[in-house]
Amino acid sequence: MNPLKYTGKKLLKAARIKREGLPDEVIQPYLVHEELSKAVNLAILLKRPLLLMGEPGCGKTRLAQAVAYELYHQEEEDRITRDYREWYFEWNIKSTEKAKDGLYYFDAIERLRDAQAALKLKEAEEYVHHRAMGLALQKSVASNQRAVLLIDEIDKADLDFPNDLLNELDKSEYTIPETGKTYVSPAKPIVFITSNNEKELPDAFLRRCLYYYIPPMKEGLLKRIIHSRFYSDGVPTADADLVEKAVKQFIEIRNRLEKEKLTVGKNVSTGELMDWFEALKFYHHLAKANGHPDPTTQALIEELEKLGKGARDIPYAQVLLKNWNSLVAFERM
Amino acid sequence: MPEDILHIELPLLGFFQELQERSQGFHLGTGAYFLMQEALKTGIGVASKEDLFSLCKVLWMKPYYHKEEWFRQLFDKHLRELLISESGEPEPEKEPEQKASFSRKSDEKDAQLPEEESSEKSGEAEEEPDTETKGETDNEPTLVFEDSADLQATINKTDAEVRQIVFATDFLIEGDYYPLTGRRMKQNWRSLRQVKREGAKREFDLEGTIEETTEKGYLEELMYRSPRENKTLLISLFDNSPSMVAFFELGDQLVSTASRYNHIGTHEVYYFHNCPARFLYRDKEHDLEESLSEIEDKAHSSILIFSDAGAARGLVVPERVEATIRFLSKLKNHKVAWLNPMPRHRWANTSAEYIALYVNMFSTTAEEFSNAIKLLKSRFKGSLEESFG
Repeated sequence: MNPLKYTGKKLLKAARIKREGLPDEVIQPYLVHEELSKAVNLAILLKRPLLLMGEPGCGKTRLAQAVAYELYHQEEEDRITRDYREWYFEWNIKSTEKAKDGLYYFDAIERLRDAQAALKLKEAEEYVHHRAMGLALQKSVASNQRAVLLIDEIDKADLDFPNDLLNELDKSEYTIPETGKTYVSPAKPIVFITSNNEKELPDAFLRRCLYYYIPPMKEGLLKRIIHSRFYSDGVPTADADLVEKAVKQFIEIRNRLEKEKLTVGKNVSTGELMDWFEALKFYHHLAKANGHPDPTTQALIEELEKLGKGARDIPYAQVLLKNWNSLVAFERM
Repeated sequence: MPEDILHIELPLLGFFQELQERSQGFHLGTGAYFLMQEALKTGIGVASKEDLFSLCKVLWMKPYYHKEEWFRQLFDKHLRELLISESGEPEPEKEPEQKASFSRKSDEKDAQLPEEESSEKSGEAEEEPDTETKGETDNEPTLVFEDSADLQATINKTDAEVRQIVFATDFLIEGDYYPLTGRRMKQNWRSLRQVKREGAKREFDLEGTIEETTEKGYLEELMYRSPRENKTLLISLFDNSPSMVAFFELGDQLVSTASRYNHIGTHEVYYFHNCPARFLYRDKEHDLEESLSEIEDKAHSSILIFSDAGAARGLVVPERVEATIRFLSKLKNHKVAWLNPMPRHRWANTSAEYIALYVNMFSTTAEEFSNAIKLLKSRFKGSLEESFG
């Protein structure tokens, strides 16, 4: 078997997965910087978790899914021969969680209810709900079949949590006291951890993880992402002018808001650019189809050089500038 | 000879070691070094300098402790040293070029005073020496020297000295230079947290419900509990008199680290000059007054005083000592920790020495700050209890 390697090239276009009895699952394209894919492969090779930080909306949460998809998803003629979902586990941290909660949840109330209602009481084991981390640990087999585990927003949890977490991940087995059963984890999963930097993480934890900071994306990458996401089918044909101008305006706004970060609080992110472009694209191409150019996007294309104007002149500004402070700050500029 | 072998066997050791030293107390651990070796063995990071740098970043650069720019500078410095020691001496090779241009100049008898030369040289460190010197001959006034060989020697010597200073890149941009860093402050503030369950019982209490049910024998009602709230109350008094000007930034850092992550539930900050008296001020300009009795009334809160207590001036001022002690006596119902930015050995023979007899005074090292916070956490009132009963 080939060693696990992530190239980042499998999700250059959106992936559409047919699910029985459900609407198709769509995975939006995910383009990575080469440096990040190197970091991913390093984490896989050295068997260490990869800690990701970056502005909200920079794509750190989506990386794990993209990796799982590339490593494990296989389809032949529209039929799924191996589903990445069997190898991908997500754990969204809540502030009161303990490391143990990631392994399993024992439904004591359900058991109590069954006992009271004089229903047939099931075996204790049946009340165990295995959670993301537990499942990931059990699923990971040899070094070429390691499940992918995403631990999202670890900074939301308590101070001791990250160290507990790593202890659990390091062990080769765990026991559930309520049933007394022991589960074996033959191999370590590939772990991605994201943090929004709300609280600082303990030193011991930092020591054991590899770390990558996702910087704000540059113009070239943003344009490629927009092309992949909105124009990969070829219909409608891409308007390079629109893309270019939108990205430039976005970067300009981002740079300005960065200077006022403390008052504004939140800067514009890549995710918001996508939403904003969706609005722009829709109305632009709609107007084009109708034969006359959409006045608002026309304004964007024509007057973008005069970048001294207020937020009101940016079409669909409310999609991009989310909080009151950023609007005010932009007006002030 | 053995050194050479070590050098090859342990790549980037110098970089790793300096990183360990300069990370404000954070240690990567030798495991991290072995990880690097493991990666290198598989061929990662050897393709180019950038490749190697990316590898170092992922393995060794950590958030909060390392800024990328600084990390890069350190990396470049060590890599340069490595290249120099292995390939002979590329640096001195540049000098013969410049020597040539200099001798050309002195031959033309347009030599200038050595100081001027070297200052110009340092200004143009990055640029082509040839074009610059040509420009100089045209514009500068000329002086003729008797002994051009002597002059040449002086020029070379100063030039070498200047270049040593200009090219020395031992200066790295570091933010924290106090022994007490922002990160340590944050860690200590966090430990001061007192989270209690208070307020209306809004949260579902699973354990309570199960207990209740086991007692009764059947599930009758669901139990609720109050949500956790951060009940830490800290009052900080900052001395912003002129003698404390060197420590203003440290004081600001204490305030900002305490409030930023909400470690402290309620943090009240007041300012005073030299010695807290009847009135304290909520702002640095001392416009917004607050009477001392307001604070006295807030029983059982923790009080942190940040002042040099006269240690910066270096004298004993009896009036100051007296006034301070009188002030402290009013706080005997509180836990008080006094943080003094002057190092401990500077307190002797100053007002601080005497004030320290009445209150627990700590200097601003990481360890002592930690002790100060431990005092504020404990039930023990410290020296105040002993001093004032």
